[in-house]
Amino acid sequence: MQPATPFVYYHCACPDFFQTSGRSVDASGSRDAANDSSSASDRQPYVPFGTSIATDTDFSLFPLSRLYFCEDCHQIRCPSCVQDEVISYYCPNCLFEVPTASVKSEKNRCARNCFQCPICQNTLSVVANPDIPPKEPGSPEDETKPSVNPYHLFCGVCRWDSQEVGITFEKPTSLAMQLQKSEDASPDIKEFDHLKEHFEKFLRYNTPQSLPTSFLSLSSSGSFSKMGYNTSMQNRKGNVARMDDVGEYKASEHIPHGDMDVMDNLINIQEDTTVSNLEQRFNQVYDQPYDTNQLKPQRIHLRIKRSKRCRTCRHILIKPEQKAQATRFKIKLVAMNYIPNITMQMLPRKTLPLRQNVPTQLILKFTNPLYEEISVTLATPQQHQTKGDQVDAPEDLRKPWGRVTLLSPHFTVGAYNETIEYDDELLYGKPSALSTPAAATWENGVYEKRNNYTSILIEVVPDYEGDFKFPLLVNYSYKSDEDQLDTGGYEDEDGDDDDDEGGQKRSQTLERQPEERTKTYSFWCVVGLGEVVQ
Amino acid sequence: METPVIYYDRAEYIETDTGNKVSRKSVICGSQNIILGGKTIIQTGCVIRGDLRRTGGGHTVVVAIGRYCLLAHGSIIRPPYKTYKGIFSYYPMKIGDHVTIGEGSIVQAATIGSYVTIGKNCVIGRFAIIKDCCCIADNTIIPPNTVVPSFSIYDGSPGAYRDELPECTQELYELKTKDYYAKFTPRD
Repeated sequence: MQPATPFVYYHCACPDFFQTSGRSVDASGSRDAANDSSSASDRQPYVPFGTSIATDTDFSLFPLSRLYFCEDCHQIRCPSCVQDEVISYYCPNCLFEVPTASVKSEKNRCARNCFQCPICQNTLSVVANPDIPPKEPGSPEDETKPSVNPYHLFCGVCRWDSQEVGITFEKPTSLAMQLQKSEDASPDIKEFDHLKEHFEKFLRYNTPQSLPTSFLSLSSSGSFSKMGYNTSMQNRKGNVARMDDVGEYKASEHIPHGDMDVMDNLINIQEDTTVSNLEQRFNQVYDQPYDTNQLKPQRIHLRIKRSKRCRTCRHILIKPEQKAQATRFKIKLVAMNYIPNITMQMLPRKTLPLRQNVPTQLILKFTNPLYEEISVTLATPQQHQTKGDQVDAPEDLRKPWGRVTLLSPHFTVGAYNETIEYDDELLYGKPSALSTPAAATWENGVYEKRNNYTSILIEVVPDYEGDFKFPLLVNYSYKSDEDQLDTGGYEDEDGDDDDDEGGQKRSQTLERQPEERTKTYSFWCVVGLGEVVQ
Repeated sequence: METPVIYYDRAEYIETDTGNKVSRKSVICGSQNIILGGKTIIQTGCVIRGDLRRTGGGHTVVVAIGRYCLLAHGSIIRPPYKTYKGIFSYYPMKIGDHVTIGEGSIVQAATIGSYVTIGKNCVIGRFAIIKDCCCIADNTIIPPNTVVPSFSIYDGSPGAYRDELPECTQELYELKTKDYYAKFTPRD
């Protein structure tokens, strides 16, 4: 999160964090009473911000583009309340799609021609050695000079050369296959295979897991439970008995400790360029050598495409196409297409940063992605002046952010339709289209209303130096059918009194009203306006 | 934050029939070998080397740029070259739609997909391939022959994978470039 640049972050009422009844009490300060009186308070998400934006809600704030919208729950979903599933594996360099079956055997790395530089982790390229002509198959030279291979790997960034560590290739294709032998011969691989062999018998006793392994979070725990760590008590008793059946393990490989040699080398070192750094060591996890000469090129790690599910209702929110090169999605329920997009604009001749105790007017622009006109109601939580009796509240919670006046707490935003773009093209041809609207149209605090967006005015008076941000409750409703939206009873309830609003927002937050055809949603967002200077 | 309206000097920019806006203070070499898709902005101080083309042959396309692209101040587009089988040659470059190239960046990529944002002062090495929906952060050096897969953010020197872009990147970048084009207006 960058504090200096202005932002609008949307709050995700993650069910895991915000629908537990205990939490709502401590963070929302004196709103507790209202919270408790609400009968459905344990089911409703609480008002996330009390007198200030507590830092503990930062994790639930996201830019709109990072959020999803579950059509079944009618809720915003953030990256931490969706469940990821692997759709496909592919190499980020050659974009080859690796079949799921072979991913494990290839150790999650590209098994073709993609290597990363052991020094700078950049992609290596295969080059032919100009001094050695490529061998012709069947030529007598093959037998006479078998050790010299014409191809090697080369790094275009740090000029590392695989000939330095004695890696050369006979032919420029399927390099991983050619390196396979040396990889398999390394003692750690051998030892791991031996271990696997040893425990194979034990693993076969266990019933296979019925859980699909495509669940990212479950696959690891699944394999753990196979080992007998994560099963229920009843199972565990049985497993313990079987554990005893597993014979004692004896290591097959014995590598002498080279610690003293490493020490000697490090003592005698003249310059530090031959010592590998942490990143280089971690890229070669098996032996993590200190000496850069022992670093080997590694095959490139595969990447995955993921589908995303709502964790509450298990419906799919994101489903990409399987092909590595495709950027399209079969299912894409992103919040951008469901909830109004809020952006900020400065009035002409006004600039950031804000000044302390100086009222500044700003424009909030609401863009409607829906095909229906929406009516929006805005509210900011009531602020409590810093009082001495609230000693128990942390400093951060007691500090108000300043005064925010919504000049137009209620307005409508026109419906989106595809032809807007073409209309705009015509409009923007004329210079008048971009000129600022006349001051007369500013009445009711609406700065500009066109197409599918409405810009409204707000006035802020920062009280303190530092980052200025304030929470904003956005409540919007629309008619789900094609009928013209008439201003229903909902709007009349809107009062200027903040306390009334507080009760009302809780009863309607993210609640659908099926009896009327009017759908009402609401969400919190945090508007940040950067630094305040004196 | 919405980008403010950007005013330019009407005398400085040539506007083509398809809505391309090309600064007269940019250096466009070999313009017969350059294709602009329309509504593309080429700002002051840009250099496009359409003259660096494969030796021999007649009329070829050297630089193809799609719609709604932005070449910001001082960016340089130069087709990639290599010596293949002893013959030195330039190779054509293709840039997709809705591509933003930041100020002072040097691009020698083989292909840049659609919906790509390249930051300020970047160097995109020879024959780099940038797929659709990518972001190259400011001051990034993408080494030659690098492949940048879709939905990734690359930064650093040498450029490395840093983060993932959201699923709605396509819409975001499309809106951004269209918005920029709409707000890039003459001063009078």
